[in-house]
Amino acid sequence: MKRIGSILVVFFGLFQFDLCGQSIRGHVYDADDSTPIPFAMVYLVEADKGMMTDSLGAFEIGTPELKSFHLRAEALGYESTSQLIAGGSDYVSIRLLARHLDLHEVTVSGAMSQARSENPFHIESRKLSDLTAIAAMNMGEAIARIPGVYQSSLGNGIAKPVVRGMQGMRVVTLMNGLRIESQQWGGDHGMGISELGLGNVEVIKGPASLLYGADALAGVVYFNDAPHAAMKSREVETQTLFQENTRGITQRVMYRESRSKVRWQLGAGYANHADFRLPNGRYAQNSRFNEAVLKSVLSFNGKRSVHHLRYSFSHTTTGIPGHTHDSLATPESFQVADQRRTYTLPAQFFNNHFLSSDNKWFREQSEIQLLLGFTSNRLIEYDEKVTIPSLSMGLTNALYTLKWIHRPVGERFKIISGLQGMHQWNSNAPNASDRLVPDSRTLDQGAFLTTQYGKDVWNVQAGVRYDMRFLTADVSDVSDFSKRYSGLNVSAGGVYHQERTTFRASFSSGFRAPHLTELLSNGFHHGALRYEIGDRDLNPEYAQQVDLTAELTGEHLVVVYNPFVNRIRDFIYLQPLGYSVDGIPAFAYKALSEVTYYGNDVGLHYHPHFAHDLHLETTWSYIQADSPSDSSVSMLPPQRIQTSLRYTFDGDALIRLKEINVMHTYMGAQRTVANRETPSAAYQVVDVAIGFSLGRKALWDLRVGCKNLLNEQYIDHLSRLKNIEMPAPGRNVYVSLNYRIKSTIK
Amino acid sequence: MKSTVFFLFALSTALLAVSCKRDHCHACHYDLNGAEVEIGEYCGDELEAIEAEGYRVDTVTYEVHCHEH
Repeated sequence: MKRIGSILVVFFGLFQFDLCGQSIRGHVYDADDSTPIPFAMVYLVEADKGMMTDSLGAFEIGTPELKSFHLRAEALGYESTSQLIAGGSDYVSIRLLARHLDLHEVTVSGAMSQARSENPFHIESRKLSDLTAIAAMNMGEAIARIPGVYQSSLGNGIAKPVVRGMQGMRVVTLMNGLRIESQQWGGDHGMGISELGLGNVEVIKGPASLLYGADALAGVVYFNDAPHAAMKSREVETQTLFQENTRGITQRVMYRESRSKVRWQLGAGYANHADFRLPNGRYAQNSRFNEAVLKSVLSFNGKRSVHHLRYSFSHTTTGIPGHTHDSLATPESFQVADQRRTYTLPAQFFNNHFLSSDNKWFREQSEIQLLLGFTSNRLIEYDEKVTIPSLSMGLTNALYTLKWIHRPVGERFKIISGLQGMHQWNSNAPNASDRLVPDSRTLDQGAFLTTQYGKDVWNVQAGVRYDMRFLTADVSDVSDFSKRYSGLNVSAGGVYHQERTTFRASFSSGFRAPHLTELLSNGFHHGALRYEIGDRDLNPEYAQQVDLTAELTGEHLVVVYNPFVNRIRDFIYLQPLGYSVDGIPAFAYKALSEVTYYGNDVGLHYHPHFAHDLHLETTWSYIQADSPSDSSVSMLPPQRIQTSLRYTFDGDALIRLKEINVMHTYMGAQRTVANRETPSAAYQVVDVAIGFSLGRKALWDLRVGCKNLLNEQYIDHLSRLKNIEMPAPGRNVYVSLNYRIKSTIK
Repeated sequence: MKSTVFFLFALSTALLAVSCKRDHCHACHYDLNGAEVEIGEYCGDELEAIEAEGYRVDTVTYEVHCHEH
């Protein structure tokens, strides 16, 4: 208890209790007709606090004593906007455009908080509410609606992000800046992140080692919490979601309260799903899962500082489909007539604890950021015994990021420098029958420097970073197994931004040290149905990417074109060995001298003037890979065309039709396959959702939808169940009821 | 307002507590000539022991499975 108390004292010791001394007043207007917009949210980005406009569109918010700061405004049916405000200003007028494609969103996953349109590096930013306009079974499914992002799933319980054709260790996941380590090297290990309390997700596609160190070779998925309640108010938000395909129910409740000094959030969620139903009416055996989540945030604003203390916990139990003792198994062996919910073997249990203290101090010409974090992941897998786990691994991470943003000559020129480190321990429980990865320690240390210069319509950015990774492991045949890897990375880019056009070009590099599994594996990986053999002489992977973006914004149309080429040296992959160990196919980790991924994302958003409430958005993602041996890159996503149509309705009836969403996904065939990988056929899926608002105050939000409306039978190329020819879930009708109530604190 | 909040949290905590309850008894068997030989239900420490040590018939110890597929 004393220890916990000491930790809290250290975290809170960083706080500087003081009041905001200044404030700014303002109005939010419609840019077309200059009418005030009531109940819009205005956020002070640097302090991460918000205030709602009153019925006349007016607001007043306390500001830190800075030379300049960003105000972001959001309102339903409008594009969000961000304005740079000079320190000491006492009034601002913010004008919002009726919503098209949101190009002015502030992103935080880059070197600093900045408007997306001013960032030389292409960052996709999506609100979670947009991604889940049609309900998603899990977070992986939700973010797979972003161009260039796919999911690799193992049934409904486990879905991992695939960014520009790569996944696992090559994708770094962060939550509010905290790097999430959850044994992501295994395709059957879940992300451990729930929708509870999240607000938006940002995706950096391509190498991002400059910002996040080793491993971010394919990209970064960055989750941000939803904002706190508006100042001096409290709110309760609940969600109940029922999905008939899995007889699944999801319950979430979140409480938020913001007082003048302190703001906090506390929430809990629980989901329980039985086996999913296939289009043929049978059920995917042991595809059931359940998940419990807790989340808390405590924030404090000082005179020139902002502090967040965050803790979240998740526990997931998920069945692993595709397991049989039948030596003559057929795909039908894994499809059963009865839908069951009680867990049986094989199954995985995940526990995740995420703790972080995120602090920012502002000075006249600079800003210091310090993030201290701790994550703990316990992964237990039971295969053949109910009391003796086959795998039981604990992964503990202590990490920090120290960043200094300096503006020596005003807002135009910025220098961002910093240090980043991580100390990681992996330990196996003694009662586990297998050890796929040995007990080990990893120490990462990196230093970076990047500069940004902006003038008129131009912004350029360039940086350099050096990283070192020290790895030691307890290996039975070597007394002292240790490795040292290092990487020098650079990034440079420029953006030209005018009212209707944005052009971006960037070069970035990244490196990824081989993971312990790739170096030292020698055993069964039941979840992946493989016997894996590592190679201790593997070299780090090095990536270099060129990324271009053109965004053209017309009055009714937005077009985005984003091609890329990502060249990776010493690419590590799994090669089938053509024999089995105890009936399970054997694979070895090998390296290719070079692999080149290339492709493009194209987006089109049509918002006709004659139908102001209609939004038509289409994205096309295309990825291809070339390698000297054209049969080594597996699980390459096929091309995808995703079209969504949304029509919103106004009104103030007691029961009001709010919006209709229709989404069509065309997934192309994939014939570019690795050795022993099977090709996949094209398929199309249609999802629909209708939203209603209930009550005069619109406190209740009812959504009814149907996923896979046409009950299409298909097997996704990235599905981990493809090898047993298990189709994706069939038609799924769902009902969601949300309740949100707000009140002011006097 | 406060009572609503407390009620919601009490409800969610109760849901989480209920969800954590697990059954620790299992029917076990061993394989003999391609057939499953049932040996009854085991719970707690006995279950752990039979899985770790196996089931002894005369001089032969069989590996025991206590889950269904």
